[in-house]
Amino acid sequence: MTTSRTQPPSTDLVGRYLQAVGFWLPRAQKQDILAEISEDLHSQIEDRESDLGRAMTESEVSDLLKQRGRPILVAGQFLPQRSLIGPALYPIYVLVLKIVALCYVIPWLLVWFGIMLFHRTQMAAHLSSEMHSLGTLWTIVFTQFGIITLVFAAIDRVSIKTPCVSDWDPRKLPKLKVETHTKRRMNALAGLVFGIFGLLWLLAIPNYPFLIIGPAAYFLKAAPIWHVVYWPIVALSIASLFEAVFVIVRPQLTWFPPTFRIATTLLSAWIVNALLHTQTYVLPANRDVAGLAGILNICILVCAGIWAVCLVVGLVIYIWRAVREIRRTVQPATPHLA
Amino acid sequence: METEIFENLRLELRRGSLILAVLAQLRTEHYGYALRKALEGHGLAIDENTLYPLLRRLETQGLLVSHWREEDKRNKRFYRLSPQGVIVLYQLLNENEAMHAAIDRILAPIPSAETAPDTDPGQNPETALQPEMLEPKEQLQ
Repeated sequence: MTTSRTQPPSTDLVGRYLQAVGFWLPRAQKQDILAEISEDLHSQIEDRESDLGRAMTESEVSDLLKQRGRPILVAGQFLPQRSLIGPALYPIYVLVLKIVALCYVIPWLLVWFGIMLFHRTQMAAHLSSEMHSLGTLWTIVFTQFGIITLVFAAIDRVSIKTPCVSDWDPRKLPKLKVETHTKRRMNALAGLVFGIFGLLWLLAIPNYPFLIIGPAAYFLKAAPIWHVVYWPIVALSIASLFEAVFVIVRPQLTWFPPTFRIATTLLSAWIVNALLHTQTYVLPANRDVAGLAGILNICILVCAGIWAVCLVVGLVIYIWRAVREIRRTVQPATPHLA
Repeated sequence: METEIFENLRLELRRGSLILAVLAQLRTEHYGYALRKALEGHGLAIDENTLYPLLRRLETQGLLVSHWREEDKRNKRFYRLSPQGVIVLYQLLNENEAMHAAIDRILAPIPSAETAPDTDPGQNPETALQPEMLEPKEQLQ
């Protein structure tokens, strides 16, 4: 055995290493843990020096400490392994984050992108305000995610103290969702029947406008925009019939309805875009009803705006469903209950 | 990727075995470094960053007792099994034995079982358990 402990290089480096490890350790256990690590290091150095037949150089001690690991990682091994959100709550936490992302972030981004396209001709004038609104979006997103994380962390801490993990009843679980081909066919058939009535109603409107605005049809006229969007709306109605027929014939192709609806949603988006670009939907037959026409125009504009938001949310949902169903089709071995 | 998966599974497999080995070795008193060397001598190398936190955890759980004592002019912390640790060790050994027996039974029908070598199969590449030996029977036929 050599007297390595008296060698300045190893003592100095080991001392500095222990100091760095100690920085991350809890005060109550710090001295105890450091004493043990120190003893281990000195034993290791003694052994090595005994093998070498000389004192270790600073470089060799440095290599030994490097092999031991970064001080923060070494200290971390002695700290209790705790997670902010435990495995029991983590799936719910992720689900909530996904819901927030799906219902807030993605629609907001799409709306923002739509506004950017809408204002593309006046980009320079609107760019700064739109970029500002995007910055606000991220601030809100991070705040929401942060609050959700803190709430779940708090719930996790409370639930650890009040264990209710075993307190559940399997009989209270939701009933098994079994979507059979028959059920899909029946849903599609109902859609087909109502769709046919809807199409007939739609086709009758040009000749019988009271079918849509009631008695007001006698003193209000449709604005020219309806001549632009009428046939696309009819096309949408026919497309929904086609989808229903397809599902009745091929109910097993579960990827088709959501994929097809992506296309119809895009057509709907074109219609909404056309509606939002005009603010006159009905024209008064005389001056007496000009106020009523104005109110109706505002109502239709608001409805078009709401429709736009619904389309964005719908588009996200259809894309998600289409991807899910296509993946199931590509990986048929994956078991699923639906 | 496969190496990473194997490495993760190996670590998972080792974790329980290391606890068993440490408890078994501490039927006689050891200080940390001596314990590490002893385990290494038996072919079970253990990283110091794993060993010392493990010793503390086992002590907190009441399976080990420790005390500081001077030896070779240095203060060393000596560990040994507590009475509760002795009970738990034997329970774990029984569990380990049952687990190995079950795995042996699961592996028994494969052809290599009849020609299984006496030596550690992991040490000899010629007699080591090969992946194809573990293929399902249906695939072999």
